[in-house]
Amino acid sequence: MSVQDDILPLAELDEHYTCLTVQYAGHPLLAELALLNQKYQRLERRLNKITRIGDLMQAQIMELNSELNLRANTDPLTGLFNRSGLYPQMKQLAKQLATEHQFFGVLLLDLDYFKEVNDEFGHLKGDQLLVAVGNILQSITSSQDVCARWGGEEFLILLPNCTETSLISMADSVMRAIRSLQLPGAEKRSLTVSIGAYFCQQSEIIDDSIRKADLAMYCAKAQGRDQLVIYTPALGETRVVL
Amino acid sequence: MESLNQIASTSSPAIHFDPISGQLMMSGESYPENTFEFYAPVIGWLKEFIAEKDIAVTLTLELAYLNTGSVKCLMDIFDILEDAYSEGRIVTVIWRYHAKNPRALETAEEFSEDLTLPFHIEAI
Repeated sequence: MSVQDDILPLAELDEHYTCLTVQYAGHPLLAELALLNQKYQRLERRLNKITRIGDLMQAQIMELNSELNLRANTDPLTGLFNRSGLYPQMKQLAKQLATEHQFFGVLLLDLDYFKEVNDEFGHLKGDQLLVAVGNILQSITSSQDVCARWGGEEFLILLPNCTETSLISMADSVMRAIRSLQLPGAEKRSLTVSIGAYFCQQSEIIDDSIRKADLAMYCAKAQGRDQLVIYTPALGETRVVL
Repeated sequence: MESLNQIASTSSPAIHFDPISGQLMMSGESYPENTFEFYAPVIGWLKEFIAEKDIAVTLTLELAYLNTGSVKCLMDIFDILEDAYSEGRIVTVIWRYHAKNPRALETAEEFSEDLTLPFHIEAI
């Protein structure tokens, strides 16, 4: 029997003229087809549901990844970038500086006598001081500047597109703001910061610039703290500014 | 009939199915290496329990993450419970989720959409 013969062309319109009955080897197929169709639709619904829930789970993973990324790159205490968060920013900044031929400045800050604050008032107070300094840096820098907690009581500010004057002005603002900080319960404690600065006027690896600012900061410490020292590239020496 | 107990791993949920009380619990994350192998005994246990015992069933779920295989297996579990419910069994599903995770709420709503059995979604 051929296929043509197998499916008999006994097309009969039902009483409502809506349903075609096809017979296969003498058996009605309509009910089978309807059942298969139902099963297909059910499977399709399930597949759609699995896909939708899969998408929700995927979105959840993406959100968790982004949170993980944020946690990995942010100092939990101050909310500033940590070192690992700073490096991508430095990379991006270096690219920007190279294409736009901009000058940039680096400020490396180290809180003076931070250990004494911890010893005298406890680590909780020390943490409050770090948070307060983080807030100061965030409030006085612009959105294009990059602030990071460099480690311990050290902070770093990268200032793209700045002049030597604006670099000094920024350092001055930071020093004034920290001097006027009042830590609750430690009001009599004078708070100061030593800052090393480096103003880069040519294409230079940012890592090298930070190292120079670091050297200047150590000079500021050695020369009595509570001051700004700028690294002078021509001489490989430093000079006290504030 | 013995209870079914599985300790949670990083990729598979803890399972505590008690045939005496009818309290079935699954909690944790579900993305086992071989999802269907993991869920086969769970589904088998549930089918046997429904066939053998005629008591109320409460399935409590606290699942933070499901891979697609686990979603499919969970839907199979809901189908078994839905069938039991339509035959007159007292069945309740409790879906517990962390309030800070709105995706978990949407997931629960997706699962409950086609079910007629009581499906309670609770934030924890």
